[in-house]
Amino acid sequence: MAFVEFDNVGKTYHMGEVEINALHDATFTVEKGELVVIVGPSGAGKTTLLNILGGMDSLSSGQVFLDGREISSLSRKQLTQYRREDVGFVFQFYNLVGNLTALENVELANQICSNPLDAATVLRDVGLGQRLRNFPSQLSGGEQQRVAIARALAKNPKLLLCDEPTGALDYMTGKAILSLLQETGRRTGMTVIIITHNAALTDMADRVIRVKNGTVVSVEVNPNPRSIAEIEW
Amino acid sequence: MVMRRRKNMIARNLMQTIRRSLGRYIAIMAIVALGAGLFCGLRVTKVDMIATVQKYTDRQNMFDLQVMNSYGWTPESVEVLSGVPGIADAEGSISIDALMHFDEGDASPFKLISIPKKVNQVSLKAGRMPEADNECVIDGYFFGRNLIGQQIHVSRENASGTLDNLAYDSYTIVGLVNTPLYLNMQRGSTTIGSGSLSGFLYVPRDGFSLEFFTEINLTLVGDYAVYSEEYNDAMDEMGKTLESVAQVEADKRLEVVRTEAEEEYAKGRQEYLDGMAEYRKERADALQELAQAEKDLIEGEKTLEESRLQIEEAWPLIESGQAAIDAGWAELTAGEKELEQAKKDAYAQMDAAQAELDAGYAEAAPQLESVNAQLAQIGQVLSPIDSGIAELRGEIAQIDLDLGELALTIAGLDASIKATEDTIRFLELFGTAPQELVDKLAQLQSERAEASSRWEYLTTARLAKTARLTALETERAQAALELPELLITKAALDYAMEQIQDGYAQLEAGRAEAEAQFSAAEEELRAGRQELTQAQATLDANRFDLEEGEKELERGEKEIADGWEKYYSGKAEAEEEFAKAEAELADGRQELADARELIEGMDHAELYVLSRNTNLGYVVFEGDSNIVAGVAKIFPVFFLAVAALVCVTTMTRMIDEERTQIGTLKALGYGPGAIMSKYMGYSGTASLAGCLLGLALGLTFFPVVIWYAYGIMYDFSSQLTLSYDPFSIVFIFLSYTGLIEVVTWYCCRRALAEVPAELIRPKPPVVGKQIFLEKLPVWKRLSFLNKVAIRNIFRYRQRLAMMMLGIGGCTALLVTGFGLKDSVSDIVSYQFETVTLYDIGLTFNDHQDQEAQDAFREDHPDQKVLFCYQGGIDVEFDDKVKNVYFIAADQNLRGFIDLHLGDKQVAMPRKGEALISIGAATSMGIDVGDTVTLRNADLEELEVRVSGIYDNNVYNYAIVHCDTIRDQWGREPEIQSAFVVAGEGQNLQELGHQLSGADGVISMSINQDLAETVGGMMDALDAIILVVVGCAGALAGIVLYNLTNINIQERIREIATIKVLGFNAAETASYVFKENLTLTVIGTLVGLIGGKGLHALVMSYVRIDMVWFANRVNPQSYVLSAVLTILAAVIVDFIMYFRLEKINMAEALKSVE
Repeated sequence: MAFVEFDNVGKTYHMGEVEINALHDATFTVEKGELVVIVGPSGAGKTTLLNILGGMDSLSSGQVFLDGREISSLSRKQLTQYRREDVGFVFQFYNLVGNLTALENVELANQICSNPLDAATVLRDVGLGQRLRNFPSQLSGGEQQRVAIARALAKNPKLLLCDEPTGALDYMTGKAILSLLQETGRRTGMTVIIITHNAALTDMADRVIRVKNGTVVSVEVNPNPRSIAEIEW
Repeated sequence: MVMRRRKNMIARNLMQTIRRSLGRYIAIMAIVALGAGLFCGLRVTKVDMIATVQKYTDRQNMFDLQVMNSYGWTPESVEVLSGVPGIADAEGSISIDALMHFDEGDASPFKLISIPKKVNQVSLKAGRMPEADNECVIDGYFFGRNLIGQQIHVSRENASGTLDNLAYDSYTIVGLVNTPLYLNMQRGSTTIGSGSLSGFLYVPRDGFSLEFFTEINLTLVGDYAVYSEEYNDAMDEMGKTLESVAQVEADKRLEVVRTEAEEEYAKGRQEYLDGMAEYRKERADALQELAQAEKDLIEGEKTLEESRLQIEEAWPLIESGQAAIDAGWAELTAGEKELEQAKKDAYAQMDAAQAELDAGYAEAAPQLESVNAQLAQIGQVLSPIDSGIAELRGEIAQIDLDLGELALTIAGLDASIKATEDTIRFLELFGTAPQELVDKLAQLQSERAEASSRWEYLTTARLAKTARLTALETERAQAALELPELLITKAALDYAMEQIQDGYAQLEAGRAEAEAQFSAAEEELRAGRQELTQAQATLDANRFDLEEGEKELERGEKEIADGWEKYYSGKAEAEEEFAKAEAELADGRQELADARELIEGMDHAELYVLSRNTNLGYVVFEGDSNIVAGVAKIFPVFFLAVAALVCVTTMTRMIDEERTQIGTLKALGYGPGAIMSKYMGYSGTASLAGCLLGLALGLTFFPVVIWYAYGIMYDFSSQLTLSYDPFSIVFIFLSYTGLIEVVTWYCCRRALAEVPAELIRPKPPVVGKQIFLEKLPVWKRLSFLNKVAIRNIFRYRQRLAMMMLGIGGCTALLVTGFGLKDSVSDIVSYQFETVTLYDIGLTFNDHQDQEAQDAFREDHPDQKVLFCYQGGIDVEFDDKVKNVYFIAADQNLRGFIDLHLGDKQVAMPRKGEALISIGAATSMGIDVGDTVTLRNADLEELEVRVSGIYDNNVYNYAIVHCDTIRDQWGREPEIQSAFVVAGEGQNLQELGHQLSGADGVISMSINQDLAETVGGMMDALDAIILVVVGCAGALAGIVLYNLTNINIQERIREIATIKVLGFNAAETASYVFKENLTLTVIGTLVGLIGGKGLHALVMSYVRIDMVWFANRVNPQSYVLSAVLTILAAVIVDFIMYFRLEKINMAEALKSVE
């Protein structure tokens, strides 16, 4: 069985009387240690897919498995536990707690999980060894995103989910962040899933999942992923 | 067209926003409603209260001015005064304080007032107005319908002057009335009885026998607003005008009174002189009568003494006589007994002897018969023998006789021979014997020889005969061989028979003798008995006589004793009479002297012109309405501030939320005005709606509740006049809506100043930074979440401020509310535990001099007693007048009333000094060292320096030393009151009952009862306290809800983030609410401190005339306030917990702020 399995997953939102079919018949698998890029245009259902995988949202139909465990059948409480232990999130807008220093933001995450990494070490790993005591507002966008990544990694999750991690960053910084993610995945063997609308990024992935109109249209395995430095867009 | 559509768009947008954030909208509305309601409600309550008084006093035509002088007024004076320009009505009135009592119960002081027709009209509450002169209507506040139809009696204890002034001894109560003269329940003081009036009675003019009016009540022309400056000025001005006019009238009256007094004096003097003469005569008569009585008694005593001696001497005689009789009786009885015994013995003996004799006879008789028979037989044989024997024996006996004669003859011859021979021999000695003798001897010897021969013969004959006899006898012996035995037997039998016969004879003789003896003895005994009985009878008769004599003696003694008693009592009575008469005469003298002095002193009629501002009820009412106004002054400001803060938080948040929208609108070309109009509209409509809601509730709810509370103390026959105060309403709308609009404008201004491009971009999050606390070593030890919470607290300063104000305010309000209750409701127990230490107050019917005081103390050794003067008095200072209780004592009050201010003891005032209780001092602005005037109901004045102010909660007091009265009034103060401290564990009710029966006590009050009365009154303030506590709760709810709501929305991304990180529900709640609760705790602490201040501030406005509230907040009130506040926070947080649960992470994180 693959590390991550999506089996005919569907998600319907009810907004008043209107039903919005955000996702349907989404099926794919991801192997452990892969860097996966989920690509598709805005509104295609990428984020819904990620939210379901991350245990932030429920699904209307189908099944989802992570490392052999069925995520789709977990209760609210179990989902919280799942998020706590198994998943790390990186958001477009970093979502750091403004009132906490970089170090504290990381500690905020790793103090609740059972097998955390040392916060300072992780921050040093993401290149912020000198900025541990800085507040988010004292950091640049790229640095904030590094803190966010460090926060996700410190939990030592099975899965790192990144939703448009470079969306709010300039080109160079974005590249640096992607490079950090790619390197981290390779170094630690962590499964990293990146959502982007930037098709250029597919080259860096071990596996590319294309999403369109609320469903997975293709899953390709890239035998020769390129280093991010080599990619231009 | 465009304009309109734009407006529509903005309006639609506004409606949407309101709908979306209904909670916040309602929060603004509620806080505004709360503030506006409180402000308008409390303000209008005062206005309503004043308006109600206005209406009432107008309707009853309450006096504006009152003139009095010491000699009263005639109807002419009334006429003159009513003619003064500017006077609308003038009416003479009589008011007299008198002790009255119902059919049962003690007498207590009442004010009797003549029923007015024009000024100070009474309003009938029940029953009807008097029709006859001996009918009355009674105080409707203190008395109920059950009295209608009953009688109220004029007490005999009243001064004679008072009795003279009343036409009847009793009045029939026909109705209950209220009077504008007494707006509240205080009935004021009096110089009679207990010193405070129990109520008033209205009596028809002719129910008084007074010829003049005691006062004239006047009203001014024109309508004035009560308590207004113009009104006060008008009263003052008219007062001055009246003074001159009335003085003339008073002087006229004085002249009349003086003349009357002179006449009266002359009459009194004559009466006195007559009385004196009569007394002297009567005294002399009485003394003489007494002397005669004494003499008679002494004589009577002497006579009695003599009789007693006689009787005493007679008694021993009687006693000894009785003893003798008793001994006689004893002897007699013994004799009788002896006789009886002897009889019994004798008869027994005789019977025994008879029996024995009978037996012997029965045995002997037959034996004798047989022996006799045998003897007869032998007799026949022996008879011849015996006759032979007898013959022989006869012969022998003859011989023997002869022999005997012969022997004698021989003996004679021998003797004669011998004698002759002797004589011869003798004579032969002497010669030869005569022949004759020798012849004779020879003859004799011859005769002797012849006699010897004869002896021989006879002897032989006798021998023969004897032999024959012996033969015969032998024969007989043979015949009578058995005879001796028989004879012996017969002899024995005969003897026995004889004995028996003797026995019988003896027995008979003995019996006869015995019986004779017995009857003789019996006769003797009977005689003795008779003798004794007679003696006893005589003795008894004597004894009876003696006893009678003794009884008579006793009667005589009693008569004498009675006579003495009568004599002494008569004497004492007479002496008492003398003393009384002398005292009366002395009184008469004194009265005459007094009258003289009075007449001498009648050179000036003291005039008093009093304005309505001297009416206690009227003045106190303003003070009471000011309590409400006082509370109204503080709370609304506070609520306005909170409303502004709620608005700031809400609007800031809303503008932050809608930054993008604002930017977009701006970019689309909407002007700042148009954009702002939405926000102004949002807060403005909330504020307007709040104002309307608040006014609607405030203008009705508060006045009604508070009026109800005060209604317990005030009793007009008027409904509360609900009104509105246009100024307040306009003020409320302007202040609240204005402030809220300004705040909104301020919040929008910053956002609108930014260029659209900046606006569209998310607002940079609030800069996080280190806080000073982190420098402390403690910081490192705090848990991570605590660090976050603390840092957050300092991150949002605005919220911190609002939390402090809102939560702190809520706590402060609760502290104030509970504190009001503490200060108010515990006041009574505080008063009676720490200030008024005595248990029972007593009033006596007259002055208690030192002697009476000592006697009373002696009679009540278990209690501590302090005698003092007590009454009512007006304190005048700086144009303010207050009626207070007045105590004058010679000794320190310690142990009875504890004089202290805070922790410091206050010294007893010395001569010329006074102590004023804190309530009166504060409300009148009196400080230590000020000089005040004390004026009693007789208008006597004391000028005293205030030497101290002391803590006293219930009622107001002025305390002076008796020397002050002696010094300034030149007389002894009437010591008619006493304070009593009960002994350990005494039952106060029992003690009170016992004391009220003591000599001269006319009234008794137990402080416990007073405590209950005052305590009941204090309940009136509970309504106000409830309002405050309710508002505090509402405030806490609104503020906490608003803050938490906004806090959550503002930090929704942060919360979503930590939820995504895997914080579970409890951890998330703790993360969010920890700071909330921390703020609540801090706010509560601030509120506890602020509450103390707020409470003090409110208390400084809350004044009730009768009661001084100490600023006291009990520890448990602080605890309760804190607990309630935190409870409110917990409840709000609990509600918000579900809000947190509902946060959709994906949704929250997706949106860009």
